[in-house]
Amino acid sequence: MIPTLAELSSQFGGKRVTQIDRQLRVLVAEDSEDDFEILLRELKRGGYSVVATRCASLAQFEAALAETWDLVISDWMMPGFGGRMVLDALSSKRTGTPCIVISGTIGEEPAVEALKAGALDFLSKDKPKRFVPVIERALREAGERVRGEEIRRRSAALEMQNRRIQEANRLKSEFLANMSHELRTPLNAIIGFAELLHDGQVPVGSPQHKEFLGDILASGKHLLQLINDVLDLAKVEAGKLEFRPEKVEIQRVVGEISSILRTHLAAKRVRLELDIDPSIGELFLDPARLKQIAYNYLSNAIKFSSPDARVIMKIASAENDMMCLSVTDEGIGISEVDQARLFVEFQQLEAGLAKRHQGTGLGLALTKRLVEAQGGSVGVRSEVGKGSTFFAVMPRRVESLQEIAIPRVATRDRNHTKGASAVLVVEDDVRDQDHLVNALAHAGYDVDVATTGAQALAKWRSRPFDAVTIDLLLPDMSGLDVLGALQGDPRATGVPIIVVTVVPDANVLAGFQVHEVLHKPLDSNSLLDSLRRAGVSNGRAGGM
Amino acid sequence: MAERILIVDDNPTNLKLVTYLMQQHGYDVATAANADDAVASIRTSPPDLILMDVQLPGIDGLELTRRLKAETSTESIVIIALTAYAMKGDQERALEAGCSDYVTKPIDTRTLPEIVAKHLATRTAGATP
Repeated sequence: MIPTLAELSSQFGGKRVTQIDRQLRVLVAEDSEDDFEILLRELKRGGYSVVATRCASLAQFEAALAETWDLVISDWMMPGFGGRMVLDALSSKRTGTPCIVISGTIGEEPAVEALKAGALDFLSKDKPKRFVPVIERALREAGERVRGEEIRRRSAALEMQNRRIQEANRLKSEFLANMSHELRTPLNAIIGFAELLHDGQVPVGSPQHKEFLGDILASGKHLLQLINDVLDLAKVEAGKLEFRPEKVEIQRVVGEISSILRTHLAAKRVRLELDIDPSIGELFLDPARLKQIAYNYLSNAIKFSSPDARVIMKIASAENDMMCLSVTDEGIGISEVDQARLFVEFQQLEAGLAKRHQGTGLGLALTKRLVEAQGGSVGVRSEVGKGSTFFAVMPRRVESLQEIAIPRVATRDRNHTKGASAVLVVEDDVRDQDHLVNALAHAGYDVDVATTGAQALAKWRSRPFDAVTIDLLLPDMSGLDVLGALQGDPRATGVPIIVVTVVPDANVLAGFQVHEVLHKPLDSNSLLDSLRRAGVSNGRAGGM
Repeated sequence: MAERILIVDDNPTNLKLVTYLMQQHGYDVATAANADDAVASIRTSPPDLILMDVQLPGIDGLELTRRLKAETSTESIVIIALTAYAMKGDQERALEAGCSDYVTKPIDTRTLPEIVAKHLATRTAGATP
C-alpha cells in the first residue's frame, strides 16, 4: 500500500516532507561549544538534518578533512587557530568544499583577507536569523561552481576526443593514399610488361621476353606479400589475429627460417650467424608468428647488408620470463630521426639506398604489432655507417590457446583476500586509474587494469572477471566498442559492467546492458557501493 | 633525328618498362633514378620531354619540375608527371608545379606513347612559326 499524501503529512507532524531530505554534513571550526550549539539549532530550524563535527585546533580540523563534507563553517578568531588556517588547509587539500567564515565582529580587512583566501561568505554571530539564508546562498553558489567546473571538464574531454577522432581520420586517409600508391607500383610493372608481351612488342625468345616475364612474376609476388601484410595488420588492429601457441623447439624454428632465407643470403653473399642461448628453456609460442617476426627482421638486415657482410641472429632469455630475439647487421645504419619512423606503416626511409630496396613498407609495423599483441615490445639500436640491431622482447609463454593473450604483468593484488572478486578496470587516464585501483585494492578486490580497448579485450580473454569498470573515452577505440565486444561474449553474461565517464549523455548507452553509470570525478565509495549492489563481493565478511 | 626523352623514376622495374616502351617507339631515351642524376643528364644533353615520377628520394618530382620551369634554359622542356599517386588533388598539384600532363600508374602502354607524341607535336608546332 502506498500511503497518501495526507497520511504522509500526518506521519511527519504536518511538516513539509521535503525537509527531511535536506541533509547537511557540516564541519565547524569553533572553540565555543555554545556558539556551535546555536549554529546547529539554527540549521535544524531551517529544515536541515545536520551531521556536524566541531574542531578547535588545526590538527583536529585536518584530521576531520579525511571525511567528505558539504560545508565548512569557521570562526575567524580562535586561540591558536583561526579562519585563515582553515581556508589555507582547505585550498591545499583541494577538496572544493565551500567555506563560510563566522565571527562576532569582523572588520573590513579580515573580511577582504577571508574572501581572497576562498571564503564564500560571512556570518555574524549577532544575527543568528541570517545564518540559514546565507548558508543556502553559499551552497547554491558552490553547487553552481562545481557544475561549471564539471561542464568545463566535460567539454575539455569532448574536445580531446574530437581531436583523437580527427587524428585517426587523418591517419586513415593517409594510409589509404599510401596503400593506393603501393598497390599501383607493382601493378604498373605487371600490367605494363604483360601488355607489351601480349601486343607482340617483345620478340618471343629474345632475352627481354624472359626478363619481362620474370619482372611480372616478381611484381606479382611483391603484390601478394603486400596484401598479406595489410590483411595481417588489419587483423591485429581488430584484435582478431589468431595465435596458436605450442611448445616450440627454437633450434628447429631457427633452422626453418634460415633455410627460407638461403637463396636470399646466397644472392647477396651475406653470412648468417646464429647465437641461440642453450639455456633458454621451454618456449610456448605460436611458431608461425615467431618465424614471421624473425623473417621480417632478417630479410631487412640482408636487404641492407653489403656483400660479404655478417648478419647475426641472437635468441637469449631476458628478465621476467621473457625472451629477446635480436638481429644485428653491418649495414648502413639508421639515423636517430629515422629510427622513430621505422615501425610506422609505409615509412620506408627516403635515403637513396633504402629506397632502392623494394619492401612493402609494412614489415616492421606488422612486426611491432605482432610482438605487442603477445605482450612484448620492439626496438632498434643503430649507428650510421656501423649497422643496426633490431630486437623483440616477448614472453616465453603465451598463455591463451585461441586469440591474442597478453600475460598478466601488472596485476595489483597487494592485499586482495582469497576468494575476492576480480575486477577489470578499463581506464586510460593515469590519475583516475590509480584512484580506482587503489580504492578497489584497498577494499580487498583483485584488480587488473587495461589502458586501451585492445588491452581490455585481451585481458578479458585471458582470465575470468566478476565485474568490469569502463571509461568511455579510450585512446584506441571507443569504450562503446569494447562494451559491444564484451556483450557479444557469452562469458560476459551476468558480469556487471559499470561505466565510469565524463560523457553526460546516457543515450549513447542505449542498447547496452550496463549495471550502472557513474560520473567522474568519482567518489570511491559510490563505486564500492555500486559493486556491492551488483552482488560483487570483496571476499571479506561484513564488507569493508 | 629521334627526339630525346628523359625518364626519371626511382623504381628500377618501372624505369625498365617505360624505357623499353619509349625505345620501341623510336625515341632516344635517357634515364635517371633521382633529381641529381636527372639534372646532370639534362645539362649534358637536354631532352625534349621528361616523364617524371613524383615520388623520388630527396628532391621529389614536383619540386624538380618547379626548378626546371623556373630556369630559362630548361623551361621549354615538356614535363609529364607519371605517378602512382592517384588520389584527389594529386593531378592539380602536378599541373600547378608546371607539368603539361598527368598520367597515373599503372600506365597504359598503348596510350602513353600517344600522349608523348601529342605533346611533342604541340611543342614542335609552337616552336616553328
